Amino acid sequence: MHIPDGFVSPSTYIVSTVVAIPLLSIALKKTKEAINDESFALLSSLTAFSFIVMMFNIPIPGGTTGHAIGTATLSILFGPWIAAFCVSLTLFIQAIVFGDGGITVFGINSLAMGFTAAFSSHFAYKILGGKINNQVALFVSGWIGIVLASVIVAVVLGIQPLLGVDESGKPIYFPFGLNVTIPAIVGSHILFFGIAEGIATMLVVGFIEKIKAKSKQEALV
Amino acid sequence: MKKSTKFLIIFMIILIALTPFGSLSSGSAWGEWEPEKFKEIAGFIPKSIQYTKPIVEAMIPDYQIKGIGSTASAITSATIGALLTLAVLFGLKQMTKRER
Repeated sequence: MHIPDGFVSPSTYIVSTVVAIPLLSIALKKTKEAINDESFALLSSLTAFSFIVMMFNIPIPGGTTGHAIGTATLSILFGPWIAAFCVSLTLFIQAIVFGDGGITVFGINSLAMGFTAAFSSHFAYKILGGKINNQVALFVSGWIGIVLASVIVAVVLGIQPLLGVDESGKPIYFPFGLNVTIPAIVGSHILFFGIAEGIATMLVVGFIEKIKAKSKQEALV
Repeated sequence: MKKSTKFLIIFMIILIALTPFGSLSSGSAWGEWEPEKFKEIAGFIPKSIQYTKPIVEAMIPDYQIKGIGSTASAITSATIGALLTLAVLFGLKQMTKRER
């Protein structure tokens, strides 16, 4: 889901950057409020988790791959703003150091995998948490976050044929329209990578809650 | 060190050790193709995709370190990535402490 440089028009990435900057500065402020000696270990582990989980490329029928993003886990445990900041940090390092995702399009990738995923997972868990089985609530929150992030990516790529053609009428940027990008990108996230993100959210949040309960118990003894 | 921190570190080490399995599949994500692949699929390479060069050359493109195998590359890249996120957040924590 990491859009590379050159795939979208300058108008697309300029608008996205203009939208992303104020959001990122709020997210930075909220992260600074939340980060301290106590929260540091968990917050940095989960950010590293987001980085690492994106390296687990899952092959799907059709010869392509994809991965979970770890945003929902951060969002459920630390809130959507902090999750968006930490995932954006991951995306920034991926772009700068590893060439995974473009630098000009960092704003788009941050809005999709960071903000969209974080806020949709947050609201999903807010609505579902406590009402249905917690495992199911965690799974669905992870699933919906990455699926909605994929909608953003699919729409951004899918509108590119409308934003520029060369003298022979061929698209300059990403050449496939929404009729192709939506089923390919959103479809694969509904069926496969959403499941991966759902399971990752379920397992990791469960694991963290267990550690927390244990250290609380020990503190009481 | 707190026990919970120890658990987290072990968890991270296990995950990093597993990353080579994550790079077994050779396919790329849908749409994130090399220029040549566009020729194959769309019949042409869109100009911007063909000619745009990244502003900053990636130090470790595609998590693959020159001269070492893919297993070692995955583990090294995951470690570097994890340590970089850790370093930035540590810096942020120290900065915030001083501001308070």
